Amino acid sequence: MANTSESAERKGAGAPNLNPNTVFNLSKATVMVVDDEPFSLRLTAQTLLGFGVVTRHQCGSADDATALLKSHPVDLLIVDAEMPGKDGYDLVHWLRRSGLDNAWTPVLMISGHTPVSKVAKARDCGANFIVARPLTATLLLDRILWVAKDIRGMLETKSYAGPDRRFRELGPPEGVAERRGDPMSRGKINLSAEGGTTA
Amino acid sequence: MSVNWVMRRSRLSKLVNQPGGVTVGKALAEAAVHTEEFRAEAMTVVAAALDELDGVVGAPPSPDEVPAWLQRVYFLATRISDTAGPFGYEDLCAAAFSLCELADRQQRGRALDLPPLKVHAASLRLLLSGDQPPEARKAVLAGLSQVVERTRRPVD
Repeated sequence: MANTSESAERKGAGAPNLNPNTVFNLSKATVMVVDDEPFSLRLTAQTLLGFGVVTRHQCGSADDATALLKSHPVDLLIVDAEMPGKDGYDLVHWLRRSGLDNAWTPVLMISGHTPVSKVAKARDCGANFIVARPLTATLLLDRILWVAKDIRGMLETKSYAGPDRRFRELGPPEGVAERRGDPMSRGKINLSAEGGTTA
Repeated sequence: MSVNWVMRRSRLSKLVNQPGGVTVGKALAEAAVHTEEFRAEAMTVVAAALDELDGVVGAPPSPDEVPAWLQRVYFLATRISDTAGPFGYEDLCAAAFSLCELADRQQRGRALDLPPLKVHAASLRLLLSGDQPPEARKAVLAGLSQVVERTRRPVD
């Protein structure tokens, strides 16, 4: 999935499609940024400040983030995929199975280059979206607004915990064309319950 | 197989639509102001990473050092790409991404092939100088693409 999204984005599919007059409000959202590169961490936090985000937690490692996620509510997690030791994929994989109030927090995974050895890990970690660098302000805002509109159900199985990856009848975010040539199968599924178990 | 569904609207989706807020246009303008002051520092970080990269590719490793050496090359390439990207240095970013691909491929193939790595380091230096016209920069990237393509078959 990661490689597919990266190559697609580099070819222009899924390019930011923002209307400059659209109004949004992130002033009360708590956003956590996790990046082992101090410069990128500060830059992303500054960009968020421009978007009106007042509460920004900056973590230089997955371990720091883990500690904070256990004790602070977070509305959006922006995490660098590649970090030494416990990486972004590990962090999100842990979060989805943590049982915390933050377990289903929307996650944007930022990936520069996904090594082939980690493609499966990226696909299965449970992030809402993987965003390919270069991470411009326009791209970041576009993806934040995407993830805010993401109404996919979260599912938990033995092998995967995270957003439904099939998109089903929801399709891509509003205003964004599907990347596939053929329409996706629009399976019927009853998602009206506030939570439930399907066997 | 048991599947547990959780249908819950995120708090973010509620907050984003609350009264007040800003327009996308204004937010991007604000973000540009906040991030522009980082541009000079970004270029310093990129230049330092490139200096280190030159040093690394100029000192080939012994056989048992190859994995860690390639990992360092990969790391420096990602640092260049990640740092230059937000400031619109797309060519530099593309060349660094290409180096990531190459270093990753050599790591997987467990075979060091130094010349293409050196070509990438030299190309990054050239692109950083910013002295070339767009056509020349395009040609540099096309050349790097060919270099990576030539190394594709043995590993993939």
